[in-house]
Amino acid sequence: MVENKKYVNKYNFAFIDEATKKEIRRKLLKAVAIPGYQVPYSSPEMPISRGWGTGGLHVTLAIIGKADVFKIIDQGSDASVNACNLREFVHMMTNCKTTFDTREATLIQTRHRVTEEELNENQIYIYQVPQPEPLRGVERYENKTRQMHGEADYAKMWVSLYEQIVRHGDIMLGAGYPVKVNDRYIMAPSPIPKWDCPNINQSKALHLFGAGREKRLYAVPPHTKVEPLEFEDVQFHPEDFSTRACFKTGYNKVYLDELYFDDGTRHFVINDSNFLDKMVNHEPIKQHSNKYLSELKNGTE
Amino acid sequence: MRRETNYDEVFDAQEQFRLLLDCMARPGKINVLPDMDILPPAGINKGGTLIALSLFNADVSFCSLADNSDEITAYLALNTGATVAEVNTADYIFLNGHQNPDLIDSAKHGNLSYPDESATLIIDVNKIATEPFLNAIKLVLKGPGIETETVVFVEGINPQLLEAIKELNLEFPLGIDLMITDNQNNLICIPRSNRFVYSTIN
Repeated sequence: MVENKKYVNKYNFAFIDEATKKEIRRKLLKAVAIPGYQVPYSSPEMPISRGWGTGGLHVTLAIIGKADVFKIIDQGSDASVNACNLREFVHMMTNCKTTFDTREATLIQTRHRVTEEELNENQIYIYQVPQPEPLRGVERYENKTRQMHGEADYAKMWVSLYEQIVRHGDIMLGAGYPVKVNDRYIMAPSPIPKWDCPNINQSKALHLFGAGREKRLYAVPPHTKVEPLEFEDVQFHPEDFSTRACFKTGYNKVYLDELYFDDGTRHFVINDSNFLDKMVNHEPIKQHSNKYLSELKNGTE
Repeated sequence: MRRETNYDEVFDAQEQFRLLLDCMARPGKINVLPDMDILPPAGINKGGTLIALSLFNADVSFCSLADNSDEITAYLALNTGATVAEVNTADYIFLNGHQNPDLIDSAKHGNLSYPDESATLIIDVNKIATEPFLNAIKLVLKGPGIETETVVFVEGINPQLLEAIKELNLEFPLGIDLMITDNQNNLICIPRSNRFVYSTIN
């Protein structure tokens, strides 16, 4: 019998076929060359549904190599179900080393958070994006939003922010706060909390965004200006944790989660699981620095 | 003409793409492409060939303006399956740094709704270095990907070509992106988001 050698491996390295990987790679290079601009791409079928992290997964699988160390978080946690499943999938398809340690990783895929620990120049940070179009809330047609981006016509966006301030006294966007990249494109930073927006600004790492369901890729190169939208008189502010602190560490210059215990008492805990572990174990951590963070005082001091 | 069977479509392509991505994200940073056993025809650097091998397939079009363009075109078409196009429709354009800048005037530079539908220039030069050397052109780059500014020295590029590129990139986000390789496999990229000034060193 002729031995079947051609299909010894059931899947290609990193699952996606090479033609599609090349397409994603070419689009990523264009995305990096035009910071904040959404490049359309093919968004091939994956073994998970579109809208469950396929965009991030496409980017990861198109760029990952044998030497990469892969970390994935879901809402800050390495142990969330989305993160665990995708980590296992990427490991099965590439046999790459996986890690929880933010500093050790070379590729970090994320759903809805930027790590609290500072990123370095050898890292690529990959976002799973549900809605890449920041203007979708004010304009429903894609050809119109494309034109608005092309002409840098963001009047509708500004009016919408103004109306929120008039109606509610503040901009009512908790996650996915629109940012302006390189003084040109308004970009949806994926639903990261406002807390994380200043950490993309002038970051040392390359940030890549993949929206699988909406079939868009975009990027923020390192050392690029990323500014949350704000008015001269009503300025951007991240979440306020000044009156709370993590019940495990007492630290509050981080993004906190709210927990309810069985006895009904309310506690707060550091959302970034690897950061929390390192703090509890008294390991050295270098946190992001930004102007909002430096103004804060630790409430327990 | 050789069929490049030594080239590993999976891992070589991935490795070289990562160098390209790093160069594109950090304009002016020199990365060294691996010295692979490939045999491109005269008139194209190994580095430029590796870019083609790592990025091209039947979905892209390219055009060579180099002196030996017929042979280069046949070689790249054979080894990548990419289609051959005229300069005004090509996704990737190969040329030599010393060539006449008029050649690229009609290169695609995208439209406002789709600025990504633009050409990428792959330029062959003689030498790229971080230190000044004789007959080099000093390029000072500024923009996204660069903390303050990056200085890089290139020999074998026509100043008029740089001028033509500047003109094509005046109206951001429209423009073209550059990948420059030398004959020691050094690679730098200059995306359209960056602004550069140049001066000659004697």
